[in-house]
Amino acid sequence: MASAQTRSSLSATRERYASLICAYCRMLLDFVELKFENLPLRRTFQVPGASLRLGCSSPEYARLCDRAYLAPSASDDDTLRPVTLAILDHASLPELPFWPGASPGMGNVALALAERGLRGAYDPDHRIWYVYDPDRALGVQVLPSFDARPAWEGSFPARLLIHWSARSDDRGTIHAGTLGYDGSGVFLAGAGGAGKSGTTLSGILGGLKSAGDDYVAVRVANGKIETRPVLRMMKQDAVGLRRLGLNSEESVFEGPNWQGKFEFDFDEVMPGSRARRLAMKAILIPQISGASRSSFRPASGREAMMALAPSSLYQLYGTWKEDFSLLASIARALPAYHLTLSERPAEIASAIRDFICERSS
Amino acid sequence: MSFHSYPTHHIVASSDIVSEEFDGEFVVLDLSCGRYFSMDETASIIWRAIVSGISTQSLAEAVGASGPTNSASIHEFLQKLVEYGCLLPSETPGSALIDDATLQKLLTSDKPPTVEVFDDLAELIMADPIHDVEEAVGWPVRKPEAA
Repeated sequence: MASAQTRSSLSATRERYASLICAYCRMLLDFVELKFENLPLRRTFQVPGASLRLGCSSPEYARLCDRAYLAPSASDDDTLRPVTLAILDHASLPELPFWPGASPGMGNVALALAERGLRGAYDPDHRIWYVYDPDRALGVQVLPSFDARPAWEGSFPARLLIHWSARSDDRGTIHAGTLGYDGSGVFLAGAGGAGKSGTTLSGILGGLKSAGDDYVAVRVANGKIETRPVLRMMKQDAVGLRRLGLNSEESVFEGPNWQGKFEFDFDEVMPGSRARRLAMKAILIPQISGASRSSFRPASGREAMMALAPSSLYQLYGTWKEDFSLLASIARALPAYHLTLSERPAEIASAIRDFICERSS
Repeated sequence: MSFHSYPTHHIVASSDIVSEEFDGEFVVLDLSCGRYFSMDETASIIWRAIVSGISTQSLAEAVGASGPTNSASIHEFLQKLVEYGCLLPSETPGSALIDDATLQKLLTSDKPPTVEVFDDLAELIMADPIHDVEEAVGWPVRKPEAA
């Protein structure tokens, strides 16, 4: 058992370490503020709730963002918070300050910054810093080089910075699939491999719309849930594409990526399939089966929460308390159903369309 | 172990323990380590009672020794939550009284309280040298475990 003196000394050491981490992160933010206009690649994107002024030190990273995000839309009636984000790499910007010590842990950075009003995380495997200052609406992601980026970065570049910058009391990004018809929609939630992406793609090929199959923006207002797209692309493996009558060798399908999946702009595969916004009516928890017809049976709010929360919290780190509350308000506001999937994509799409229509009338 | 060796009161361990209720069932998240807990209906009744300030002793005495949810199963359940870091034994007596509705639900429950524990988020946040983890796991995607 540690003595009181030892515990006190450990506590002081941790406090000094946290202060050092915070000082370094503020140095990175100051660097962005000073140098943003000099960054070689700057873009403007829009995600629900935020207008993103994004600067990159690497042309390859700018290309990832061009591919991932939607252009600003004049028809968007949201109040957009102007946010400045920079994705910087030491290889392109040698003057970028280095962290002087040994690699910290993810928890060290997240906790140290949270206690000081900042959002932050550190990926020790790839030595990437993620820092966001809500007061300055300013964020920075720093990696050693573009080549050292994580394999999954292309699917949702600057994921944490965008999650933090678009977060407010009533809105956030969650990890779920969506399908909609005539302005109303359903979430598809559950563990990886449960059939979310395949169901989403079956749906849009069957005439439904979607705000996305992976990450979507949600807004909770007066007990109503609205969903909007964050990303342009969807993902599916070659077998899944083939099952739906699609050929992964066509130019619209890029890949395979690190998961062995092909990425594609779903509005290009099925023109008109991107929903700009959906009024959500239910949470569906899909389950693959060999049944001849798809069927729905009620699920509890707790089951809906357990289907929605783990993957969202796992992949969108740093605002767990707020996100847990947001996800709970969604799980409470919407009825939930287990969806047993048939093996026929057209039947699945038809069953979900009928389900949505019944709940929209 | 005798009845009197159990703690008489419990409190929520810290402000890092957050919970949300869904039609009488709770999901609890420990923000400090990322572990989360899914409670069935009986467990949720007990959790709500403890959070609202009802003492462990009064809960255990009220349900008695028979039935699926009895004093022993309540003490075992709360001991589990202490081990999981959700609750702490407390010297301060709970101030709330057990109400009839809560008591009836416990007396008529058909199974003892159960809680499921999920560690996938915990693996993420514990990839942290200051928590004495020797090898950081991949983040945010876990690497396959070594054979």
